[in-house]
Amino acid sequence: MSEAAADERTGGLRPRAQVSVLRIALWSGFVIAIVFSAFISSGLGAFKTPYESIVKLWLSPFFPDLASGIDDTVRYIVLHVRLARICLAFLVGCALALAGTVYQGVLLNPLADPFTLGISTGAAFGASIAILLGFGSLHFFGVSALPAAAFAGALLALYLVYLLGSQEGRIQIVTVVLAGIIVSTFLSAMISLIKSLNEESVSTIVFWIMGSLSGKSWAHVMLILPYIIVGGAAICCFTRELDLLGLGDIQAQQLGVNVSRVRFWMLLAASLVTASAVAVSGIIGFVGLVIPHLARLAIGPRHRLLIPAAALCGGLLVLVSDSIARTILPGGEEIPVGVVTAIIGGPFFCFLLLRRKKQLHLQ
Amino acid sequence: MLPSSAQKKAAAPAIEVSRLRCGYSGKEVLSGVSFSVGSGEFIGILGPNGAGKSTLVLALSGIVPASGGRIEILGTGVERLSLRERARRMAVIAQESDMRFPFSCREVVEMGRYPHRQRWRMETQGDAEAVEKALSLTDTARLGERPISAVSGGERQRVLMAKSLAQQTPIIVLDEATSAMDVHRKLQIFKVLDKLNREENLTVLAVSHDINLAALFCRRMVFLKDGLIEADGPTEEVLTEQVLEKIYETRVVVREIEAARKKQVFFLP
Repeated sequence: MSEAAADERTGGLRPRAQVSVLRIALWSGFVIAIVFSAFISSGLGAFKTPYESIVKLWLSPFFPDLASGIDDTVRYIVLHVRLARICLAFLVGCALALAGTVYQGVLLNPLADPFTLGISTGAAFGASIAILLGFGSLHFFGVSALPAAAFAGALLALYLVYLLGSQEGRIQIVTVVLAGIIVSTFLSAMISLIKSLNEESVSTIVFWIMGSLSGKSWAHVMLILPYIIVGGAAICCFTRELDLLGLGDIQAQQLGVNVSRVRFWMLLAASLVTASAVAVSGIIGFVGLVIPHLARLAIGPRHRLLIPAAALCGGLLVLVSDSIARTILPGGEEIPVGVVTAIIGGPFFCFLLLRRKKQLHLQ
Repeated sequence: MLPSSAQKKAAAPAIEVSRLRCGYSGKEVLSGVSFSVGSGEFIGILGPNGAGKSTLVLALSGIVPASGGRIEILGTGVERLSLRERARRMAVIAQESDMRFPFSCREVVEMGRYPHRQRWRMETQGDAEAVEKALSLTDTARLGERPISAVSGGERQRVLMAKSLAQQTPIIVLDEATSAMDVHRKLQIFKVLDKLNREENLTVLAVSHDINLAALFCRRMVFLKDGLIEADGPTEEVLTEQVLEKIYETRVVVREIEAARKKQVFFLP
């Protein structure tokens, strides 16, 4: 009998060791893909920059004398325009994928994401109001008003969705998505109304609806980085609880998880990172919906690994999408990045839906 | 195997329920229930549908708050126990789990260690041993890496049971936990609990409507009806035709099975 038990144990360990080798390969694959895409992307654009000088510029933080012979315009465009935008795209993607993973885990709903829950639209609504009232670019006590307004809008949307989608304090899994769609539609209409009230800010508001990273700089990166770090850190503190929520409210509570408190803080954290992303990029769809499923298929459902994997994947997707968005049209014209993510993400999600319905647990 | 805080209170009853009233949104389900479960007892909570059995479990786990009366677990009122501390004293084996995400069976069993684990601490030797023991007791080790969503209903319930055993609590509550299993598995699960009950002084509270299964293992039975206790006592005293006919409102025949020296019940129309 002890022999059988020992057999069982080694039989259990051997595939585990293989799995960990596979995981290391997967993680390094993620990182290499991200660095590689960022590198390629920093050489793309209307202004011609040879990759030789891009290599030198990338290495210049470590070897300062390498960059000495490079033209100032090239240096400025690569370091302050393209790399800033690449970093921002990566951050926005991280934020949206993080938020999507948390919404799906907390609401036990495979269709939950910042967009379907109406949180993104709420954040865009808050930002639009701030622009309409003319304090979009103001600062209060060192806090920039725009992300704050977006966060307020996201919380408003979250509150409405919670109110419509829950019964006696318990969230109803189906109604919450319906509530999200209702809130999202209503707030979209309000954004259109604001748009028509104020003709001057049409172009700024339009970008919120379409989603774009055009004209963004390091200042925007620094603007949202603290919010994403705070929200991301909060989420990382609760990975074990997020796993246990998968058992359902009652069993999670019987195991000692304070379900309502975890759910409250996680929804708040996810909405904070969503709002910070929306404040600089507008509404970018599909990232928060598709990436968590993809990451779960690749790395499994444990949030300790799923959360970082989803963040990296989401960052990569938006980085690549934004590079396509800003380079695909000739003559420096751009298409909104939300269009690219939808074009990539939509068919991909259809594929997943048709081929792997069972693994996605949509049934 | 008892946690040290619980050991000090070994003299106190495992569960003490006095004049418990509770219900949902104005509708009272339990209206004044009192009973005491001694440490090391194997007790069955039975009764017809709607008697308040599930509500009692929810009240014991602190999910449905009591509107009156008191519940004590190992000498401490539930209102003074943190959720984690209660989960270190009492585990509930659930009826079914609707797992949305494809956790492996081993990962589900590892979740049972949650109340014992520190936030940033890695898995300890004790955690690993508790999980291995729970897996082997429930005969689920071979399911290990398979996703919980891909195993059969009976296997899933054994995994849920392993999760609760990995909690290593002095008290275990079964909430209709064996209802989806075939006879063979039911007996196997109850035999495991019986063994732990006899060898490690585990207190078992089996909430069930399977009266004959309970009759084989429970040494004491509590019958609930319409939110009140109808009968409470040693199985051989309570399991009589008069008592059961009053509770189930139908003709009942109780026979002693000589080979097993146990009573079994037959309901007649």
